[in-house]
Amino acid sequence: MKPSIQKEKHPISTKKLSENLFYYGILAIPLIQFVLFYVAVNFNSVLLSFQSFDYQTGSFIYAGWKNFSMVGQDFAHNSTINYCFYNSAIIYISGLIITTPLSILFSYWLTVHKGFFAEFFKVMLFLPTIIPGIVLVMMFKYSVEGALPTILEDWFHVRLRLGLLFDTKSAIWMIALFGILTGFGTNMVLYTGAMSRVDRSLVEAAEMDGGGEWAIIWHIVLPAIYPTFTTMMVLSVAGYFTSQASLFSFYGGSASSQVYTWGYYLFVKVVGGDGSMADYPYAATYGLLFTLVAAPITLLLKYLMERFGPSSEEKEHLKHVSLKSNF
Amino acid sequence: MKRLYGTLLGSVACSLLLSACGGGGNTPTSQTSNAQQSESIATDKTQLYVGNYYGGLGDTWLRELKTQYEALHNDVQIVIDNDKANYLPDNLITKIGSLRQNLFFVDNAYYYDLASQNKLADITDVVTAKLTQYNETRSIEDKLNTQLVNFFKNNDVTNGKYYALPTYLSQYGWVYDVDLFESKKLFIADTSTDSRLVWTDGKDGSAAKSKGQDGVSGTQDDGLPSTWSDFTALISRMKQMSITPFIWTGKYIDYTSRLLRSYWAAYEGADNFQLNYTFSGSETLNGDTSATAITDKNAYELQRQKGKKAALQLAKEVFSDSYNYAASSVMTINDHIGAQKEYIYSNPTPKAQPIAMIAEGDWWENEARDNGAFDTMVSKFGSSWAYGTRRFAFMPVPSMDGFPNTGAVLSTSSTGCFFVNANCDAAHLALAKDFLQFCHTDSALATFTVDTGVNKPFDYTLSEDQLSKLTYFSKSCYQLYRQKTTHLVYDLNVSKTRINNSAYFLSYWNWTSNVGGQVYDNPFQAFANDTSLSIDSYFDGMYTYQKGNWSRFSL
Repeated sequence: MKPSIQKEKHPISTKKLSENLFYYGILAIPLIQFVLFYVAVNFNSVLLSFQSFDYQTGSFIYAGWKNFSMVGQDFAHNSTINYCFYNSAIIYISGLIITTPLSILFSYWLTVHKGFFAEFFKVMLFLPTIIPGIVLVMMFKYSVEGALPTILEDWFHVRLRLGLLFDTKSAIWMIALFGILTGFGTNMVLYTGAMSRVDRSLVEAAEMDGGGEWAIIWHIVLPAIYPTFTTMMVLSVAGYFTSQASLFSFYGGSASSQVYTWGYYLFVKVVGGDGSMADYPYAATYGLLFTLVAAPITLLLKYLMERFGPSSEEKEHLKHVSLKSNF
Repeated sequence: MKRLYGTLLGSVACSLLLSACGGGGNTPTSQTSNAQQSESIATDKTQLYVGNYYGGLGDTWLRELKTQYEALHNDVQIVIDNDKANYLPDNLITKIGSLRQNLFFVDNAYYYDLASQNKLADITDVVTAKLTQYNETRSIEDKLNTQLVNFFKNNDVTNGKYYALPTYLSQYGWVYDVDLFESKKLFIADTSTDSRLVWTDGKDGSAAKSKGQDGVSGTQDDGLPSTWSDFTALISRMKQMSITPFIWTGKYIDYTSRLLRSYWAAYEGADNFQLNYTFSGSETLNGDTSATAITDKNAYELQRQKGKKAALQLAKEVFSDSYNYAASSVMTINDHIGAQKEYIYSNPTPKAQPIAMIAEGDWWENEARDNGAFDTMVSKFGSSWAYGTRRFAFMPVPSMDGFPNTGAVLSTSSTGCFFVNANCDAAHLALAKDFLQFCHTDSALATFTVDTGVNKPFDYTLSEDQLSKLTYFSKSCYQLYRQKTTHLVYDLNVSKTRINNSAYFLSYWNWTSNVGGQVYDNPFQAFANDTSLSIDSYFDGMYTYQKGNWSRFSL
């Protein structure tokens, strides 16, 4: 008779236990934070969308679809909302078509070229990310409303009647410019990191086959960093609805409606001397509606970029490609 | 080595987490006066902690009251916690329950929010009790006007109880440089006629000043423009003499919005202007021949108030010529401190063009002094340019055809509050109420005004000796508020629609206009950006905007 096979139970060693404790202990902190400050907060925000503040009881009470009706009325009649759509689009598109391509190009240049100047530019381009935003805003304001008008008047005899940030025709473009000038840092950290993993032998092979810089960027670098690029594009979708574009730093609570973005519009609804708790449900309703819009767009964008981006076969093929240069 | 790195990394991560948990509201994180930094806690006394919003009013007045009160109560120590950030409305409403301060004096608060959530102590007993222990025959309530009593007590939220008291009174207006007006002869002489204005410095030996709007000589409006044509003539004269008429802060453009509201209130009259906050009453509006009954459902009709249209004239006039205002006023780099300094330095700094008037509130002199503006002038030009020596005053609102100055003066500081924290234990509650009562005796109210130059919205008077301690500007404000022709009106939400949508009404009610799809929030900014924009277009646009949005309230 065969002896029954019994699994031997090995007692957990002290070392294994302490490792597990450390591992789960460290993981618990961000998890708890996530649950408290993301899940709970957003769950409460969803509930708030269906409530209104009752001054008699000092509490939030069920209000049905009242807030949604108010938002609907605003979309239909409130002209200020039009500026939110328009200006948020300007900020988003300027980031998409200017900041992102330039970040990729700068990152490529910094990855390819080494030496003092490369390191210097790396630091300079990343500096806005670590300098406090309010300081950057002050520097920018004094440049465009102090230095620039003086230069224009003294050198070119052109007198600006209004400050570029005061003039509602130019203000949003100045805000977009500020976003571009200060938006390179984070992008570049990610893109240079991704580009550093590009196989150098591919680049050398391309150079030997007569491939120029643009061909290398288009056929080798971009496909290689495509996952990072996709992540950045997908994450930026939510930015359309949430970006304040530093308007509060520029204007405090008194920016003109003509420069409003969605993020700023909702921010001043609940922050500062103008708002009260009665305005929280209204702002929460926007948050919920934006989520319902942004979530499918984000998922769709992710799907499309993965669907029509470089395939895994193509990426494999890159290892064996031989380029004929047209440059 | 890896274990060492792991330990270090974990320590750094944990310390970051702990630092994020810090920063409670009990320790002042912003400006503190020197006196506060050196005060130690007396272990043999009961401490009463007072949270003071350390802004333009400072804390000198509070320290004096502290000294007086402690002299009367040897077993009490009042600890003043100056702060700014922690006493802002958003921080206060979330933190007040856990703060150590028993009493607060803040610049702005969500009164109804705090009261409805039981975060404030009921102070009705001390507000309605006669102040006999201080040899007074009146209660604090007796010193308030009806509008304030209704806002702080008689409403659907507080249901006949007081939970706070107003802190100070302030209007917005053009503050003019009296010394400049004298030196450059910018006062209107009494020998002027309708067709020809004569200018004077009003000094002995010169032509006497005109009687002004009130028609009485020897009052503070002597020599100042009574009518709109006088006002525009004054602006022209200033420019001819290379004086810049106006300056304001380009960064906080809402200063001009509030200035315009003062004009609107003056032209509309106190009763009609208050309709904007009560949404209850009737008025004959622009274009109508009979009165329109105003309710919450049709309150957007108030956008057709005639006084509002008249007030737009000011903004249009200012931007009729780019030489009417300082270049920095249309730049966002110039905040209110910068504007004050530029204004103060402009006279008599060589090569600087003097600036005649600044758009400001009652506290501006204190603020400018605390930011060193006057000290800089003294170091350069001598003591005659010091704070308290230089003379400033509010320019009265000139009458227009069909729009006399009704004497209505709008106070825009009504959301400032003085209240007791509901988290006090019984002993501290009694003490806090007692100190609050003390702070509203006639003597204490006078102390506040003498120290800050700002008035409180209570009925009290200063002695001649106390008046002599006020600056020229402060004295002019004090006298203005007590003139028989002055009717104070406060920007306090009474209508439920306003209370439940305060962000909307504070941002969009006053001046937002939809002109052909273009939305303007501020007439100054609108006329600056589009010099071809007409008053009629802007005025009609305000009605269009509000009428179009009114359905959002589902009334």
